[in-house]
Amino acid sequence: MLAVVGILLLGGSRSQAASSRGKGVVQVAFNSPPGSLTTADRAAIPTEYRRVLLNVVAVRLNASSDLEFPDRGKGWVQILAPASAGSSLVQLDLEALQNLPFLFNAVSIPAKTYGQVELVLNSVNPGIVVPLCSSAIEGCMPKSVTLTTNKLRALFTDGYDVTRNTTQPLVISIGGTLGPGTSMAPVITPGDSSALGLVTGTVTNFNLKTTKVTAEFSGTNQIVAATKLQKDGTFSLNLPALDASGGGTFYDFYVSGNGGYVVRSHQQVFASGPPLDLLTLAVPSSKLSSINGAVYDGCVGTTKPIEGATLQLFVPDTTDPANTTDCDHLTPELTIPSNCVVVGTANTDQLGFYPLLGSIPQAFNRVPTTLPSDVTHYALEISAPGYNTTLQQVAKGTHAGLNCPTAGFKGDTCSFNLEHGYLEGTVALSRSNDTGNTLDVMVNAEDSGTNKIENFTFARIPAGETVGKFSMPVPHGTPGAATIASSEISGPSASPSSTPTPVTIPVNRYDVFAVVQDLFGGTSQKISGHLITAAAGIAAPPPSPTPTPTPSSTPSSSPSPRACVTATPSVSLSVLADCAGQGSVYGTVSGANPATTSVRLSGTDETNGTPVQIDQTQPNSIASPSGFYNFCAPADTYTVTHYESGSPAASPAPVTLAAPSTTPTPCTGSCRNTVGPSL
Amino acid sequence: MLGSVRSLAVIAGLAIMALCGCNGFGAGQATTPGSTPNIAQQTSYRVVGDLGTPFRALISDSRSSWQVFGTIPTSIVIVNDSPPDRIVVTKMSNDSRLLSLELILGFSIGTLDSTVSKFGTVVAGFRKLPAFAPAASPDVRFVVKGPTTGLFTALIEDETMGNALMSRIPAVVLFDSPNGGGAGRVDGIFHQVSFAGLFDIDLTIDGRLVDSVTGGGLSVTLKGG
Repeated sequence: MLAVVGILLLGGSRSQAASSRGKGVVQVAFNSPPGSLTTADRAAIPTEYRRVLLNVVAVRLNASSDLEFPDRGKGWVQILAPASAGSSLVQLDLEALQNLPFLFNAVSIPAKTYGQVELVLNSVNPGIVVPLCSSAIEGCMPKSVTLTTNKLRALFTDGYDVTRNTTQPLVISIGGTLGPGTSMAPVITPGDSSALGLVTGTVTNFNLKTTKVTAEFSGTNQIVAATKLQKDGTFSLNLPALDASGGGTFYDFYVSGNGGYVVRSHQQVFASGPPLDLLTLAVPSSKLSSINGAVYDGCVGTTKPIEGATLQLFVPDTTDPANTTDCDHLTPELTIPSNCVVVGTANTDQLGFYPLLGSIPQAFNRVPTTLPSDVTHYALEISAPGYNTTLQQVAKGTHAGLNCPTAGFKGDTCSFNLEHGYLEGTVALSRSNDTGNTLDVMVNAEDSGTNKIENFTFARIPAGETVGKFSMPVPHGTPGAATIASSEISGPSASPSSTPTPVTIPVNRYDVFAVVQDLFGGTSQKISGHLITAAAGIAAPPPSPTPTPTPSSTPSSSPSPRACVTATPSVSLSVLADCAGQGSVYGTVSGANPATTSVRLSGTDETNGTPVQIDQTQPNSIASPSGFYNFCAPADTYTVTHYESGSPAASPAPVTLAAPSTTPTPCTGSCRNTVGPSL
Repeated sequence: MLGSVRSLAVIAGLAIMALCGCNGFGAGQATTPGSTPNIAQQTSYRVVGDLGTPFRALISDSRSSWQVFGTIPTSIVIVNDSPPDRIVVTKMSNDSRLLSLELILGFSIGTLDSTVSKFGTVVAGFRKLPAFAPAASPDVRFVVKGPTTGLFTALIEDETMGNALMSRIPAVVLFDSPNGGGAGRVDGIFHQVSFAGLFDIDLTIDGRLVDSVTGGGLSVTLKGG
């Protein structure tokens, strides 16, 4: 959705240029500062609610300062949810908004002074809450909110001036009261634009029609905003960011659309702070080419395309001489160097082809053939659930276009085979399935000791049966021919290999956990009423043997597929047949920082006592200084662990979620809440 | 056309706002068929949120289930739907991108769920489906890939009936139990409500590509079986 904000922001710029009456671009953002939304008894939201979501359709502005101005009166200017993502509304998570604003949309509207703003929610389904367990309401399952407020309008104290030919933020703060139960009385107020961080800069050698500057969360391909340039090459972006006390928010930036890429990595943006000036970004001249091809299963070959694979193109930021110039030189943790910026993302269709066709401009169709100085090739990461992620080189070919010399396909075309092994096993009930229906069990495989899920599948236990089988592709362990050379893992290579090889990232061990897909009152539930069972430290399948080349008079257009691995690790998971019911827990984290703090919930492998991570707090959901966290899960004993920036910050603390008072099959009891440990 | 239009299912793959954006539907659209009575409102799904986020959906009605791989945004429509229905959508990326699932009943958003969690799961359903049905057989799908911002109507037919629908592109149209689950021909006639680019549509049966249109104009037909 954020990407759409960027696209529409660009659209807004076009509109304002075309308007003779004068328009300005308004960039609407939402926030919900800590304490602005409380429960009916003035408690913090996370102590009583797991999630609070509002279904926002539009924001309306009117010059009138009469809050009773008719709904259908003249002069309303409507800013709709960005439609190019395919929906008529955006679901706002108020828990995350307390820490980091959310960019809703940016559009061009008439330049004048507005007196009031209105928030329009979906009339049928204005919002959803997930309460924690309580005696008053069934917890841990979504319920529609009942609004007690007729109109969500607010006055601008001194009017809101939209100035012609400029982009200006409009921050709307959402507060009010939630509860008792599902009733909600939201209140909106025009917020302080300093909740956003300002980024400025100047681009040289640009094209006003095609050049744009894109901001994305650092180290990700998650585009937050994009903008075109003013006539003098300058630009400004208002971005969601934490303030200085929260450490700000890190962004990557890149200039694209005309000539070569210019990237800036890991830039710190502060709300309520001085603007970040990216200074002059000089675009080198370059022709543009395209990268396209297909992605296949390496065990089968071109007859088995991989649908939904993701391809990300990386360019290194070389402004610091200490930075690597090769993004396929992984860190010791097997991650891409932090100075590398994603400048384009593509996905495969059901036939394995990328980029997707359509009228939305695809970054892979406009890739500069000239790379930044000192950079010999782009790095292209190809990943798909269940497959080993691989990094391939993209370089200027013998002709004008771009080639993939490490892919192994004829003509260095940019098609790829992804390797994998299989993980097989069984899910067994403590007694036969007497529910009368098939039990569907979701089995997840994640990197051992982490919360990084690699793949999932379903095991089905038919009525009357006790055991369900599963099998799923997962990344294999130590790679085969595509071995990670030690020089590729750490530090720049002293003497680059004359024969470039791709980098394949292995996974050595897995944790596996199983979650029964339950119904409650006929409705599908995210949180199972059955206990979650886990198995820790399962050895990854070995890599596939390297195929023996077959003598042939004509070279093959694609590499020979590897023989599929037959030696697969087997996993046995035991699930109690009876429903345990759900429970919830909330607690606090001391010294929480929304940008870095998270809490993970772990179950246990009953055979060896090893913890297996099964859930985590949502990004930006833990506020400072209150530090509340919460979980919903089947009533059982777990551990909760405080993490900072992805690493444990404290020892795991045990917590037992209280069981419902009654738990007849199938799962009809009320859940109970637990006050959890302070971390 | 293989047979007479026995029933008409106006399957909405868009929200009311999108309707307004198209200035309504003109004569000749599959959604204005004259006096043919509509069947009960049908369900469809929209997976929306951060563009390009990969997902895997397991969808089931009372007869058949399907696994759909895709990226946001994608519409999923079951033709010849046999309610109740149930869907589980799992985000296939370890990041904080938004994935929202909209279950659309007729023209209204019935339920809505979203996640920003790593490999987060969202669920929805229409009436009570106790368990997912066996995998569809035959598994007949029309995959409408482009133009990505377009809106289309379609008539999906087997040898005995036709179903009209409307949806946004990209979309996956799942044809449940065509020809009563037996052998027979199917076809799809697709028409853009307003020309937004060239059609790009595949027809697959049990995973095999049996017909494809790339660079198609305002109206195209695919056949197979």
